[in-house]
Amino acid sequence: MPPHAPIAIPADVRSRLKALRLLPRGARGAHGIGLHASRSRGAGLEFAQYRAYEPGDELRQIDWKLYARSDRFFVRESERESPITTWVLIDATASAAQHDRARPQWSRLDQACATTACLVELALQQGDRFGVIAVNGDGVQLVPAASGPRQRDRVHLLLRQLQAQGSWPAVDVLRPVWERVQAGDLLVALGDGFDEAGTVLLERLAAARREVLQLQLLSADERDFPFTDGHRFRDPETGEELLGDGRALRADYLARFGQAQHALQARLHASGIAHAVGYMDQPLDAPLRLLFGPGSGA
Amino acid sequence: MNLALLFPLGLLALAAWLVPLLVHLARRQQYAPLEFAALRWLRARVRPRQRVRFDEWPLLLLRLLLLAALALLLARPILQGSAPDTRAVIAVAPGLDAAALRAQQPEADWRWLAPGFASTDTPAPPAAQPLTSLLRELDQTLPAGAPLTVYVPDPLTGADAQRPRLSRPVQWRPIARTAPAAPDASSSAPRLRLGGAADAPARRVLDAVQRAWSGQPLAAATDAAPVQGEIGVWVSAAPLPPTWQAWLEGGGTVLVTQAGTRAPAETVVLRDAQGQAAISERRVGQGRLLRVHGALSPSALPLLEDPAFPRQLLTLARPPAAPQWVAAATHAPLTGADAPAPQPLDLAPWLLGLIVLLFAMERWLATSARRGAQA
Repeated sequence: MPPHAPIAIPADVRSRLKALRLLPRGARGAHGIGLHASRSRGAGLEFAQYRAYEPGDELRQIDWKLYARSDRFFVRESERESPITTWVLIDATASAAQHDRARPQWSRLDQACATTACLVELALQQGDRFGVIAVNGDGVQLVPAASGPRQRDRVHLLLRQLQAQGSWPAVDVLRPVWERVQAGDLLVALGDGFDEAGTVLLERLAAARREVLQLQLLSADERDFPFTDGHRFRDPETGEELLGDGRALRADYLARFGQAQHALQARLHASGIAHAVGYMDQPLDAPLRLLFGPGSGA
Repeated sequence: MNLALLFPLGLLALAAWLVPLLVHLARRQQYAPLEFAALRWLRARVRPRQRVRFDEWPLLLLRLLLLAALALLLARPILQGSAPDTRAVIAVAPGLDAAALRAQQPEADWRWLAPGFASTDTPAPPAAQPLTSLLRELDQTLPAGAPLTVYVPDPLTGADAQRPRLSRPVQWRPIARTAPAAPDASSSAPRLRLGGAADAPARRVLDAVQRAWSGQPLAAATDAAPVQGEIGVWVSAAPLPPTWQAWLEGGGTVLVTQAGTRAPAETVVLRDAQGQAAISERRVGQGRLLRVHGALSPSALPLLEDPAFPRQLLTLARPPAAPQWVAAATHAPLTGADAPAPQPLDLAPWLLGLIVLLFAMERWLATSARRGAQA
């Protein structure tokens, strides 16, 4: 695949994406107009076009003066002007290079980039503004929020160049996040959720009225721990190594990992951060349906 | 039917089992580093392994089998007590018409009585063979109980000093053939070649000997070396000239007169009536040196007056040929020899085949793509 080609989204995933909506909870009624979806076609906004009435359109949207002139029902449509900006925060630290043994060419970063591509499609579908922030050892790389297909290309260009390296940067390096992500914006964090500093950042963003969702991407190996032989396990971020036998370590690891996941969920829940877990052997949209699907509560 | 090892120390090669065992063990020790981001939830606890484990069991097993087969090959296994082949064997001496004889009994095991005991389907080996010796060998090679029939020419050649004694009764079938005529002994009597400075009595004695042998007078003395069919006579105190010495070492026979004590390499071959040594013999190179103790005169050597002396000297100078022909009917083998030891079956060719097969399987397993994907 050439390095600048757009990230491919499988056709079945793309078709299922149509059922999803990026709906922020906090933005609901923020400007006193109503649902996020209704804002784009409200009265008083900038005129865009007339279109023929279709069953299901609200009666108050019908332009009665035009009806008087033409004896036909027309609906007045406005230029869509979404107040919602969607941000995707990608954790591209060295731990994002983790891959499953069953699928060695597909890393957590690949999964994150593909998920970002899905989110971008969703935002584009809704006409929302969107931007991407990637965090790795080098600092912060970002694509400022904008809308339209060319913005999608800019995002894909960034995703293509993204390398998983380093560890979570210091707080002052993360200042662009605070500068760009405004209050009321939707921010979807993609990553393994293993970095304590990353979780702290999400908590502080949520406390500062950003609409934060965390989509935790875990490999199947982290979930199942299928190792049966002796291995030298190595942490890609700290370089720490541990020699151990897979069978002997498995039960203890699964218990402790499950405990840590529960603790993380409780913490995020307390901060009002929606949380979903996506596994790398599942379809891309499975965690997205949990967060943005019908009946998700979001 | 039991297995025996001719060289049991070869099994020490089984120590080579250590190598594949170590190879398959050692791989476990060097763990491949595995990136694992969730390391912080792993607790360092390397339990001591309860039992030794090996990688790639089938390959290890195959390698051990291969080494075991090689060690067994070094130990030279034989299989004793396998069922003997007691078919009737018919041996034909080379020179006889095996095809015509075979027509009488075509289903038997026909073999040439020649080294290797090949089937009579193969071309006939040379006719001159030590038949009696071969017969003994064949008797010991065949398993006990196999009836043996032997076709030999009559008269028989290639016999040795005694009638063969075999372990089994043999059907002895002489086939008459014409014997070649014996050569005339008188025509080939040797001539004396006189050299050195012989005095008159010695010349008389030698002339008489020569006349007794062939009826011819003695040739004149000359220093030229003797030729084939001649016996050199060097009557002089001087040593042999180089040409004579060379002829002697090349296989000739030279008679010298020299008194004195016996050299260690000499053997006395003729004594007189009183038991005194008269002529002794010594081998020089391939030839023989006959030394007359004393001068060649009747006064010094009374034996010369014996009428039998020329014949005795002829026997010494040219020993009569050993008999070569024997009537086949009188040379039928006797029985009573020890029964042949049962021939053990040598397992080396089978083992070699097994080793080649195992090696091919080992290579196939070790280089298969499936294994590379695992590693």
